[in-house]
Amino acid sequence: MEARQETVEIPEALKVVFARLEEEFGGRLLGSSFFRGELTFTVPVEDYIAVLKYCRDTPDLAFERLDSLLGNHYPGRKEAPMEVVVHLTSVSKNTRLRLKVMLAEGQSLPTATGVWPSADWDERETWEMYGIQFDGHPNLIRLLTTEDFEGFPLRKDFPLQGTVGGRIRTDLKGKI
Amino acid sequence: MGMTKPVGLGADTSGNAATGKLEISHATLASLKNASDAQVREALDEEHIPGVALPANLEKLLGFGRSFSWWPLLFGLACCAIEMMATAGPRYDLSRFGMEAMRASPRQADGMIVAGWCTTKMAPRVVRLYEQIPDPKWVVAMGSCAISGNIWNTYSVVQGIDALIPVDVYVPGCPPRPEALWEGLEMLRDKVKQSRHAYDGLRTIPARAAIGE
Ligand code: SF4
Repeated sequence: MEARQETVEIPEALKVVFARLEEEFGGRLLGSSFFRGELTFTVPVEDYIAVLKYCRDTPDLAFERLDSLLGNHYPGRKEAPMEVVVHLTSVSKNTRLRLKVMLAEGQSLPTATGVWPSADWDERETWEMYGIQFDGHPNLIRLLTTEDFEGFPLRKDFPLQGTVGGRIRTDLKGKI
Repeated sequence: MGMTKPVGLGADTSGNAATGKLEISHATLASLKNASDAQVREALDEEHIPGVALPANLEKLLGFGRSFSWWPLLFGLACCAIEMMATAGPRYDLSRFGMEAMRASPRQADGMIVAGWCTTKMAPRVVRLYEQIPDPKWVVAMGSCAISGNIWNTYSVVQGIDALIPVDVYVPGCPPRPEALWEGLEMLRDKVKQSRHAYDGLRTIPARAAIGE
């Protein structure tokens, strides 16, 4: 990212966010970047919930909203191919923050539903599409695909074209 | 046309009123093997079936009436629905043909325009909505997705809704322009006028046939 010409000024509010997070979690954060007005932190799995709670509860940060929680798959990253990305918004401070957590294959993440209940469906979708397990989630069942679906369709190794299940692609028995 | 068809009014209206059965001689039946639709109708016209003089005209009258107030189900699945809305809007104005009254309940609709791709999750609902529409009913598959799945040859999209329900008119395009849908609806109106249907006399629903029901 150094090679790019950074033209966007870092807003004051985001500087505060950066300073507070660095101060609180110091050397434990795995990395940070500021690109096109967006601040991103990479958080270790152990500190994930602590960082979320800190972001929500610190008056200087006041991230009241969890905008989205989603997954990523990088097959090229051998040790940590999976990733969970969390977007936070502070309505009162008008700031946004992105947090990333890198996960090994099969590694699970504690659920964020205790911090923001709105993480519920996002985590269900992330689990369904990427196979990332969320420990302590109250209702980790399929959200968008049918119950008989197998595999994690948004992983890079999932076939783009599918012929599974004939033309209807699901078993309608008992559903109609 | 001197004869009514079982579709549209139910089996009782065509044939023997006492038994409710359609009476056709063996000779006629034999000659109808491999015959086209028009040939069948012609042959049935010639066959003397007692007691159907009135329903024949009634069917014609009903078809004529229905074709001017075919109410589709208010039902859009994906991007094609936007064009369907445009067709219903003031510029293309479906109300000229009495089709603007999109019913929000399948029980008040005369058929459905399946506008957009149908996901596997949506498939049971599409079948249910279709089954809730009272007879006679007609279905328009709007857009390449409803016809064949389009580019979404993926894990989650039904490859053409005619795998689920009988389709009367296919309107290709991605999305079809309102004029194209209009053309399709004109074709549908012809079918409505003639009380012709995609489903057979047994009302076979492909989705049910696929699971052996
Ligand atoms: S045919 Fe094109 S416009 Fe219509 S639902 Fe499919 S992708 Fe969307």
